[in-house]
Amino acid sequence: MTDVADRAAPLGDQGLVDGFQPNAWSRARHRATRLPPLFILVPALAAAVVAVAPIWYLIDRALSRGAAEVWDEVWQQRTRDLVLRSLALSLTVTIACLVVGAVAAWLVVRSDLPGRGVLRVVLALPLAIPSYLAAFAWVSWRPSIAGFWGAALVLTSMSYPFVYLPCVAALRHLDPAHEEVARSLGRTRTQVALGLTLRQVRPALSAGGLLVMLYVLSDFGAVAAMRYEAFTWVIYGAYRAGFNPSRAAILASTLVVVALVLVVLEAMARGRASARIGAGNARAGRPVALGRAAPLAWLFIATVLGAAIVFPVGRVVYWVATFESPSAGFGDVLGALSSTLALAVAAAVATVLLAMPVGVLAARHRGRTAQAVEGATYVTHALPGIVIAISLVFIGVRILRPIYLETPLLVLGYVVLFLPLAVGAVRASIEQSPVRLEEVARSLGSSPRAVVWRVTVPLAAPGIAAAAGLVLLSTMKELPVTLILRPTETQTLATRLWQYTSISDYASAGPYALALVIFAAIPTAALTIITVRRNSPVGVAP
Amino acid sequence: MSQQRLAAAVPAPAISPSGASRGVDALLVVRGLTKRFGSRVVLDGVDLSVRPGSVTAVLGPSGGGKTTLLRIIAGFDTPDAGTVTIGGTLVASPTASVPPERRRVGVVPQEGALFPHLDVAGNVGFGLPRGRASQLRIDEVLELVGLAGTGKRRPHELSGGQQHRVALARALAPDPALVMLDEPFSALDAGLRAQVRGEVLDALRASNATAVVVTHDQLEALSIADEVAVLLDGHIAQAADPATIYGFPESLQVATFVGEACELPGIREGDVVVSALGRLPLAAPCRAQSRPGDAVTVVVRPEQVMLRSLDVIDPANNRRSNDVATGVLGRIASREYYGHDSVVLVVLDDGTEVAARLHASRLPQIGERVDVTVESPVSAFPT
Repeated sequence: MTDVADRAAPLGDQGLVDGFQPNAWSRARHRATRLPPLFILVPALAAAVVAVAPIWYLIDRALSRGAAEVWDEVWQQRTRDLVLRSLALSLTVTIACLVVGAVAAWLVVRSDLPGRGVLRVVLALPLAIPSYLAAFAWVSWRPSIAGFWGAALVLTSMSYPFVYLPCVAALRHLDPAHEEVARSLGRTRTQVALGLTLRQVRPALSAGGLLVMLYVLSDFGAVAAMRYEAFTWVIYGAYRAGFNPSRAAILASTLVVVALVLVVLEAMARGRASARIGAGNARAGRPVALGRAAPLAWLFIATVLGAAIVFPVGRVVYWVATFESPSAGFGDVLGALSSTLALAVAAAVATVLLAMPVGVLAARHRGRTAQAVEGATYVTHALPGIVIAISLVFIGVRILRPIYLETPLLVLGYVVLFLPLAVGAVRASIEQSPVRLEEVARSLGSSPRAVVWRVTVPLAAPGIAAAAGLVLLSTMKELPVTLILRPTETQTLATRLWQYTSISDYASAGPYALALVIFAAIPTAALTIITVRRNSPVGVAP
Repeated sequence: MSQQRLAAAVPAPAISPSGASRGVDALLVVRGLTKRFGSRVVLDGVDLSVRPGSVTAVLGPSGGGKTTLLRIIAGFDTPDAGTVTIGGTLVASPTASVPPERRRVGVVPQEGALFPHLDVAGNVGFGLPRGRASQLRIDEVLELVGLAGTGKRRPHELSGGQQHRVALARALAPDPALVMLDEPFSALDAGLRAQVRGEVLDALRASNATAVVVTHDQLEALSIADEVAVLLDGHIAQAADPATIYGFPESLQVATFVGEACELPGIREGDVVVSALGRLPLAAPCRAQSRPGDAVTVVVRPEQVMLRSLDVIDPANNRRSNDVATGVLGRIASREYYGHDSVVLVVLDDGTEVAARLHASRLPQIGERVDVTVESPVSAFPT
């Protein structure tokens, strides 16, 4: 035997762009055509299977009465109107979130706005506030706000952090030399911000925008509270009506198709994160002076925070302060809180463990396999929680009987629901660290598996922590899956809040709402501090 | 353990395509290495052998495939054709590849690429097993690169030169068979470069390591290396010791890439070439390349050109010195002053331009008449 390892020859260089490339090292970043190692591939495939299992059920269910009925249902005028209404809302909110998220991120990272260190944290806090809570806050104040614009307002103010957080991370990793070179070549500050900087954060924007779009399509709480007839509310109605579950399945399948289109578009539009080429350390950029635009910037920040945080939280405090809760005792609130936290931690750990191999695969072994696996994990985010919930009920009854209406099945529901969040965050953070470091580690004797644990994961740790935080918070706020899959004796903050607010008993809902705001806001702040204010210069390496 | 296995493996091939006499005991043997990216051929049959304990510079123009060669030797890339053998073990061919972690090839990337999440000791000890022995080894290598006591520092607290030496210490710590440095000093400013270069070389020599340094800087290659391999047009145009590369280039391309050179048209007559600079003896290594009567391109280094002013009166016999002209006559056209020396451009009476490197203290005036002679034999290649 020779010492030559039996390895398949690489698949060739079809992924490579012909012609001049500046540097063989930076080229290597994009050349991941080798087959991914099994210890990455197998768990990633497992994650993909977990993610697409509900769709299998959905399609099976939708087709149960034959293709003709599917066609009739889809081609109805009211179904087409439904698609258009949902898309209109989704598009409006996404555009608004991209603008709000990008501008806010730029202001707190690259401008000289006073207090930007604190604002960096505060601007991420709306993540902590459930959309149905905010929606009820607005509706209880001015019932006339219900409808399209009310839903758009609430969803934008709740979901812009999906764009803002990755954008902050990307801006902080940017090499200021690029901006300086552009300035020296005669570009103005505005041209640089809109042209160069915007282009460089495009991966972050496209990932964040996709998340927002899918989030809006699958949001249930806000559109239900705002009585805007979007997909999820109609599907819920069809499911609750009981006599036509296949209509719910057919409508949800249509939503899956829309989501698939989004995933393909995102893959096509995705700009590649640019490598730092050249010598020396990346420096922190010098903040851009706002000058006379400072009051405008303040007005912008104040509007965003006012709508997203101050108003809903103010309403909750007002409920608690004004009315004595007739039915909620301290013990009830504490019990709901502890079960909420326990569930959220379990969901976060399970989801991130499953998301890591997918993130490594997508960032380091780009190819058809990686895109298929990553795409599969994204699709479920477009499934309304309600659909995932009923599909898991079905799976529970059929093949997971022992854990049906038990905690593990509920956690599995959260995993399916939040895998896209975690995968996006993990992938983005792995892409940020240079492949060269992993190559150096290999040359120092580490096996591919050891490199993942000793280099890739520690470097991506902030992003992985961010992923865990995102899942934790989302689980605490989650409503439909919790409502349907929870063990009968389990009450969470969200289910209690929903019960009281849906009968307009704001006085009873108050303590739960307050507990939710407080205990979801704290991990959000922690998450933001880790990801946004991390002092260690991750950008040390090129 | 693995070191012994490598050393005891199949003996290196008896015939190496380049530098046959040096190839017998070579540690690294690269044969016929070819790599394409799309339609662009980056490496086109590279042959290279590296003696154990030597420092070999791979010298080539930027974008000429040097880094690709390094990446293939390290195992980060696979060749389209050709083989790489380290210590007698075949490590890379188009169909089989030893993974990088089993090659024992240390790599020092251009900017050091230190792990930002580890301190200096963590970086240096990355390739070592955990334990007390490793701690001693870390201290030992840090001492070697002149950074004793910096183990607790973080990479971003170090200067560029220090980062570089940590990267070298990290590569040396597991006692690799071969260390490869990619454009190691290009990121440093000129003042620091010479100093860091010296420190790195001292560390390499002290550790008795075999090193391959990839560079586009001719002076760097000539000054640090025992062997220089010139990589031009995707293959090794010449591999030899620095003095041979500079003094006796095997081709016009090597002659003009390695250092400055005047190219003059000429005719070979016997072992002499005749050009605008007169009759000059042809260097022995060049004699096989052309035959008497051939048209040749004569290569003259600026420091071979001697100038004697004709505009001064020789005090010894009170006669103008042009009375004793021994070479070709010309006039100073321009000059560039570099401090330690200067380069002047002489236009010969027949219009040919020749550059001459002079000691700075003997700087002639522009327009001055000079007597031009050429020292030592010259190289010439068939036109």
